[in-house]
Amino acid sequence: MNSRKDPLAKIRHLLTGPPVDLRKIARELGINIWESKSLPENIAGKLTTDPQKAGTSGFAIIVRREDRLARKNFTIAHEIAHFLVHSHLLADGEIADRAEPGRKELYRSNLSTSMEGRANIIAADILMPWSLFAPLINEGKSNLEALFQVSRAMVDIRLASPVVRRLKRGVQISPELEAHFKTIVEKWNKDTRHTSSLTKMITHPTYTRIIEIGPKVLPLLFRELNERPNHWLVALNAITREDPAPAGSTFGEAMQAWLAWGRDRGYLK
Amino acid sequence: MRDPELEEDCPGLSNSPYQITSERDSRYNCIAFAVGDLTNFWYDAGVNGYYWPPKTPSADTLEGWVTVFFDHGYRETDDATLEAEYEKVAIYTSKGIPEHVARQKASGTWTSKMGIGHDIEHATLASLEGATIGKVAKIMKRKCKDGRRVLE
Repeated sequence: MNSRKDPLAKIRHLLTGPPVDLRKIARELGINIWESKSLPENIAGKLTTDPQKAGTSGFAIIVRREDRLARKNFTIAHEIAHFLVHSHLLADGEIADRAEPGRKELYRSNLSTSMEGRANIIAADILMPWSLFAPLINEGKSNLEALFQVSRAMVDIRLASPVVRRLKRGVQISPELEAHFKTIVEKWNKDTRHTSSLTKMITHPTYTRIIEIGPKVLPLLFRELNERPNHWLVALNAITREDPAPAGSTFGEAMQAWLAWGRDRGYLK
Repeated sequence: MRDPELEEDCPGLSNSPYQITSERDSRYNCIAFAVGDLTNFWYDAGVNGYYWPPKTPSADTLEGWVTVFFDHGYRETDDATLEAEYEKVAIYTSKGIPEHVARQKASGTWTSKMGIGHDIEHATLASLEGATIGKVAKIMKRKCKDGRRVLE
């Protein structure tokens, strides 16, 4: 079973603040940031391989000098997101991001809509990581704008997230799913309790069944991990496509990182 | 104290002496235990939280496990009996896939971490053999340093 790559793996340790220090992230990634007066008004920013401007990674981000701070921050975060997940598509050239008509916080480029959508989501996770945002969801919107140095629209998008709904109202788990989960976990525990083979654990039919259930199983999975620590990290990675555990962490440390991740997103009280 | 679940999975323990020596713990596995690491679960999982030595063949191969012990100074042998000047490990496989490793103590008994369960001491290698753990496929030994065992 292949793991899914966490787009934020390289920078997760830098997601501190608020506000998150975007220029420090860019520096660590070897990306130069340039502010330009010459970008057309409809271009918010670019990720470019221009050798005159590129940093050690071979990439540079160009933002419009005239834009206000919150807008520049979103542009930089969005281009960092492109760098993290799409730079392989850009061996020689650039991604120029135009603001969508009427929605200045969402950008379009020559990449597909789904790629732009992914970059927008990752940008929000860079600017307002849940580890920082979750404890502050009851703050006023103006405070959040100022703390994270983002636009009101970005704050509104974050606050409309299902994560915030979970954090405020708790998770709803159907009794049928809970009973089904209990049955398959018991079977998995019984069949794998004395194996040292992770492959045997994660390829067991019950384990793959849990992954197939998808995101709605996450509250149960986090509760199980919290109450009966076991090898659910591969399933969590497969379902969420994230890996909040630091590289080189022990299993115990990785488990704690995942539990914190789950709490920040309202999956676990 | 006996462990009915363990005896269910390793029926040979029902009529062979064994002793539970730790609480259940999912944070390390038998191969970690056999090299003296109680903080890592050794496997090449592809997600963070697991450890597998760099440039070592896959944890799903006997070659991988043999390489781990080779790198810890062990060499292959056919002899599982107690030799005072050697430390020994026994790798179990099922259908060619490594399932378990036990380490010999100075007394001649064996000690094992049973998956995510207990550490145990068991009198014989054969007492673990069966459908769950497989059979002993490889014995390896290393010479004690200055007459002293690295692990006990």
